[in-house]
Amino acid sequence: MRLVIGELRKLWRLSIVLALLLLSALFYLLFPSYYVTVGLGRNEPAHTTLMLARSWAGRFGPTIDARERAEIAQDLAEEQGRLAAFLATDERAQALGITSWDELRAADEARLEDAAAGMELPDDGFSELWSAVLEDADGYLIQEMEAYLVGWDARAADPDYTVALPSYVGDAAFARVRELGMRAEDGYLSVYIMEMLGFYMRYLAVHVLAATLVLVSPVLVRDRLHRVRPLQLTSRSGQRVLWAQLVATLVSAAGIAVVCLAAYAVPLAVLGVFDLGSSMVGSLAWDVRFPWFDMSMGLYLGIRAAMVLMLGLATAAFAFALSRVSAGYVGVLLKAIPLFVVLGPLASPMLFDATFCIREPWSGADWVIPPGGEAAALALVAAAALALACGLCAHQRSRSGLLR
Amino acid sequence: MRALMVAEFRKLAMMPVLAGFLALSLLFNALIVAGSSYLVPYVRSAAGVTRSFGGRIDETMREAFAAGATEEDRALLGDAVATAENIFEGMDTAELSAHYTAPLGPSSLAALIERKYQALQARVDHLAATGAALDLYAGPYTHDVHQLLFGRLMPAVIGEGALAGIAVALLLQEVERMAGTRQMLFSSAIGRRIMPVKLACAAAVGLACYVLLAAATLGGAVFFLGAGDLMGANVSSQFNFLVEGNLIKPFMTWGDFTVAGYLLATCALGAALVLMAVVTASAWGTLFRDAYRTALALAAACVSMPVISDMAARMGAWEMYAAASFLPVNVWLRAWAWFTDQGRFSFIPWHEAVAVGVGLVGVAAMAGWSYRRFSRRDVVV
Repeated sequence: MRLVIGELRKLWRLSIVLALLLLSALFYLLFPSYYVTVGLGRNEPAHTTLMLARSWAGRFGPTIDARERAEIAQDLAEEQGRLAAFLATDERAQALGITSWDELRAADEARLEDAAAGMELPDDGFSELWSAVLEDADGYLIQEMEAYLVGWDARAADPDYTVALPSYVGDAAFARVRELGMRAEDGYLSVYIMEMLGFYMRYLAVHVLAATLVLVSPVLVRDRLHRVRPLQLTSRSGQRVLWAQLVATLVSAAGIAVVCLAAYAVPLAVLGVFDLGSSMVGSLAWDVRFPWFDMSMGLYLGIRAAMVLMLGLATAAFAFALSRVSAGYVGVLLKAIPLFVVLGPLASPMLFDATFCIREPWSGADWVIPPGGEAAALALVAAAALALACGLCAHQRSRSGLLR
Repeated sequence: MRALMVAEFRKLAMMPVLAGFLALSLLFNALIVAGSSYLVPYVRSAAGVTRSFGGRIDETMREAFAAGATEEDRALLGDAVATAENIFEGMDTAELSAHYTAPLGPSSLAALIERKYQALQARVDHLAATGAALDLYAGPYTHDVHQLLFGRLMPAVIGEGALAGIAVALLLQEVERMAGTRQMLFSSAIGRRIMPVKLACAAAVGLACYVLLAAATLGGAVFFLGAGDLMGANVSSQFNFLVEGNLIKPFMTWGDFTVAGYLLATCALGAALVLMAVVTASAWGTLFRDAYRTALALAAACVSMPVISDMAARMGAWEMYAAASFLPVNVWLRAWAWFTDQGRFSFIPWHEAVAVGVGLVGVAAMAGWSYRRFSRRDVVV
C-alpha cells in the first residue's frame, strides 16, 4: 500500500495536475459544452422537447399510452387556443387574416413551396409574425406537441414499423422493432435529446481518454530518465514496484473517470436531464433510437458511465505498456497519439453515440452492432490492455540482471 | 557545423518511433481517401471529358460533348455541361459584405470587412471576364473532391507534419538526457551553441517529414481518384463552393489558381505552419528544459486558440475574434477556405498568408530570445 501511495504521489504532480485542469477546461469549452448549454439549453426545438419530456416524465411516467396521448391532445388544444388569442390581438396576423395555428402553418408551408420554386416572397410581415409566434407565443411547444402526436398516431395506425428498416439489420432487429410497434405505449424522448446526449457522452469519453494518457504516459519513462529503475529493482520491494505502479495507474484512471463523470453531470443536473431517469429510451413516435433492450434513461446513462470508466482503465493499461517500452517522453507521446486517435475520435462514436441501439457502426456500413456489442467490445479491449500490462510486469520478473 | 548536423541527424535515425508515426499517419490518411471512394467514378468521368473535349464549358465543348460523350458521361455530367453559366457576371459582393458586417454594427472592423469585399469585387469582375466559372473541374462533385483534398487531407497532413516536427525538436533536446550525456555536451567546445544546430536539424527533418506526408498523401489521393487531368481547372469553377452555416457562396480566391497551383500554394503555407510549430517547440523546450512539460504547454496553447476564437464569437467580441483569427491553429482549422474571402474570419485579403508570415517572424524572435536566455544561465542541468 505504501508503494502504491508513493507511486500515486509521483503521478499526481502539481504541474501535471494544473496542466490537466487547464486542458480539461479548454476542451470542455471547445466541444462538449455546446451540446448542453446551447444544444439542449437554448437551441430550438431541442430545448422545448427537453422541457416537454421533463413535464411528461412527471405526469405520465416512463411511457405514454392512449389515455395519456389524449391528455396531450387536450394540452395541445389549450395551447392552440392561447395562440389564437395572441393572433387576435396581433396586427400582423390581422393584416394577413391569420387567426389560428393551422392557418399559420398552412401559410408557412405555402411560402416554403414558393421559395423552393424560386419565387420571390412578399414583404408582408409574415416572417416577423412567424418568429414572434415561435419565440413569444409558445410556437415551438405547439409545433413539437403536434409533431409527437402525429408520430404517435402513425405508429398506432401502422404497428408493423419495420418497413422503415434496411434489410441488412437482420431478423432479430426486425423482431425487436415489430415488438416495440405492437406495444400500446411509446417513449417520448426526442431525437434532439438523444443526439445531444450522445455527442456529450462521446466527448466525455474522449476527455477521460486524453486526461488519462496525459497523466499516466510518463509513469515508467520518468523512472528511466531519472535513472532510478536499478535502485527500485534492487530495493526490498524489488519487482513489486512495477505492480504498484500498475495499480497506481489504474487507480488514477478510475479517479479521473469519476471526477470527469461528476463534472459532466453538473450541467445535465442543471438542465433537469436527470428528471428523465425513469423515461423509456426509444420512441417510434419520434422515429428515433430503437434499443435492443428495454432501458430507462437512468440505466442508459449509467451503462455509458460504466463504459467510460472501462475505457479509462483500458487506456491506463495501454499507456502503462507504452511507457514500459519507451525510452523517453517524446517516444511515449508519439506512441500515445495513435492510441488516442483509435480509441478516441474513431472508436468513441461507435461506442457512445447510440449505445445498445439498433444501428450501423459507422455511416455507410451494411451491418448493425449486435445487442450489447459496444460493451462487449470495450470489455475485450480492456481485458486485452490489462493482460498486456500484467504480462509486462510478470515478464520483468523472469528477466535477469539490472534492466531498464 | 556540417559534422554537428550529421551527428544530430544520426541521433534521429536511431529512433524508429518517428518512422512508425509517419507510417501510421499515412495509413490514417489512406483511410480518409478510401472513405471517399464513391467519388472515383465521377472524377474519372470528369477527367475523361476534360481530356477528350477540354475543361472549359463553351459552345465548342458542348457540341463535342453532345456528339462524342459516352452514356455514362452523359448521365454523370450532362446536366452540368448543359446548364453551366458564368455565375460571376453581375455578381455583387456588397450582399456578402452586408451579411458578414450585420452583427458587427458600425465599427472599424466592419469598415475593414467592407473594404475587403470592395477589393473582392475587382476579383469577381476579373473572374467573370476570364470565364473561370465555366471550368468543369469535377462537375457536380467538385465541392466534395475539393473539400476531400483541401478540407480534410491537407489539414491532416499539416497536423501530422507539425506533430512530427515538434516530436523531432523535443527528441533532439531530450536525447542527451536519455543517454546521460547532457553535461558532457554542454561542456564541450560547441557547448550551448549546439541548440541552434538542433533547431536547424529539427526544422530540416520536420519539413522533410511534412513533404513526405504531403507528397504521398495528396499524390496518392490524386492518383486514386484519377484526378490528374483536372489539375489545370480553375478552383473558382461554379461547381466549387463554400458552405458557412446557411450560406453557400462561390469559391472566390484572391489570385488565379488552377487546382495544381492551389495545391502548391496550400502546401507551401502548410510548410510554413510546420516550421512555426518546430521553432516554437524548440524555443519552449529550451525554456522548460523538460520535453513532457513542453508538450503539455504546446497542447494547452494549441487548444486555447480555437477556444479564444469560439468564445469571442459567442460573446460578440468581434475585435478579439479578428485578433484570434491570426493565431496559427485557427488559420490551420480554416485550411478548407485558404486564399478565399474567409467571411467574417478575416478582414484583409490574403489573411492566412499574412497571419503565417507574422507568426513566423514572431516565433523566430521568440526562439532568439529563448536561446539568449538559455545562453545566459549560469548552470544548465
